[in-house]
Amino acid sequence: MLCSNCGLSLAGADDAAVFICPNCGRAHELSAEGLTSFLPSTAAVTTELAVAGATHYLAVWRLEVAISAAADSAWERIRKVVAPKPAHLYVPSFSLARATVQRLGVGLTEAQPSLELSPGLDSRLVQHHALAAVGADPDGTSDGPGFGVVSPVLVGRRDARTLGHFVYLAVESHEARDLHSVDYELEAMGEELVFIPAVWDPRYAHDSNWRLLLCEFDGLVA
Amino acid sequence: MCRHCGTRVAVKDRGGVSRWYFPARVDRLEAAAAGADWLRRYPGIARSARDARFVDAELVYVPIWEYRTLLAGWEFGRKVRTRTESVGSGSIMFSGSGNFECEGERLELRLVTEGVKEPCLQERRLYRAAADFGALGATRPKVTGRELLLPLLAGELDASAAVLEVAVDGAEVAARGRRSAMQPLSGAVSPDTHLFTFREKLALLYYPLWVVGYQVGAHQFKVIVNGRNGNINSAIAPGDNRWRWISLSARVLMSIILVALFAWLAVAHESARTTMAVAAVIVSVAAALYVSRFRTVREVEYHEPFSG
Repeated sequence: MLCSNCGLSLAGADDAAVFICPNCGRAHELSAEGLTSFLPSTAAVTTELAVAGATHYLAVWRLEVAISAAADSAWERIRKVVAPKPAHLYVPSFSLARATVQRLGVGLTEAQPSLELSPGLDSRLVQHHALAAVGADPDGTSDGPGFGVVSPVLVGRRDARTLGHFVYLAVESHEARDLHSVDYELEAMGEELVFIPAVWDPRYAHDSNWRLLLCEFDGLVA
Repeated sequence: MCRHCGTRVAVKDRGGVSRWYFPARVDRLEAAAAGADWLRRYPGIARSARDARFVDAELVYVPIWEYRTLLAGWEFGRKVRTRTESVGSGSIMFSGSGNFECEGERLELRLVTEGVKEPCLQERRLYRAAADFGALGATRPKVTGRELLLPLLAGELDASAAVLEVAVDGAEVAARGRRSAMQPLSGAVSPDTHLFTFREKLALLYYPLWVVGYQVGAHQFKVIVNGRNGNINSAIAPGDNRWRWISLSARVLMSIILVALFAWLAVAHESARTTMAVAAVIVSVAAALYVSRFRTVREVEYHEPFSG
């Protein structure tokens, strides 16, 4: 698999759904027509607090959705808070662990961070990732995220739409204590792959050990 | 991955299903030895079969459908469960040993209704036999999904091995797997489920089984040996009827003695004649019923547990 832009060999593990070009940072996804390339976005660090440790970039799908839900639902509350801007659903795509997708998905969707996005993925980050991967612990026995600076993308565009339902229901479930049924309709209108800066920190057990370097999450820093 | 330049290669999906096989780890002699060992040890087998002569052994690859999917979603609802509660007007006393003790208090089990909010993001798998294993005399071997599998390429399998034809429709298995995966597991009463499947995959797995034939007199029997671990998958052997015949003879003899005893008592004691005659008739009928229901065991059948 070669980059459609610069012709270099694409990086990605066997279980990856999206492959990143280590030279130009373009993302490539397998589809029925072959490789489809697109430009992911990178979110800037907006935290105002000190950062300890190496910064990683976590792949997250930001879904543009049309949801019809009850007036007293958590989604309606979130939508009203961010109005007139549209509310997004965030689906973490660097892991398929249930707790990670649920916690970070709920955290990001509820916070609706104002991301300062820049197009593409800085090639220095991706190359750093490739170099880091050479020396990475193959067994994953050492404590850490198990990848370099840039996370792998394990969830494709179509799967992100399915997982959008999971994250939406997690948000509703998170806010309502006594929830016995959820009546909703969700339609994904579009999706964007975003790399969000974060620091691996085991103290953030409730966020699957990730501290997101966004100002919306500064209040959670002890 | 290209071995020459290290470039990752993606193969376009051309339809159909991917095929994999479990490499055989047991050879012909080991399979025969496993069969012989089973014949020596398994209870209820005729003595003549214990040292039977093995006449042939054939390696057969049997197809198994594997349906895999990732399941994401939530289950909501209510669940009724029992909870232990302490009840009664217990008075708390300070004992001499320095501990608090409760008097007049007891534990009771109560039914309580609890809310259910169950997230799910996991892989679900379903395995189904893709051919009639019964015709071969085998059961479907247990597959966990963690075994080493190799891609099945043309000419990959042992040329002398037979491969069973696929006789079960894959689409049917996929539909069944989807239905099975979507079954709610939370145990909630009439739950509100929102489950979604994604990354569905259907594959054919070929499992090695040794069909080991042996001869007892003029009859042929077979033992199916698992080609991966050498366990007995299924087997048929002639049954041992010696003890059954001995047991029947003993019971018939006992019945004859009892009937003779009752007859003698009926003749000797006039007062108990009717009772003894009735007793003799009852014992005779019971013995006749037992003899009429007696059947010899022709074959002993064995199937590996947790297979099928």
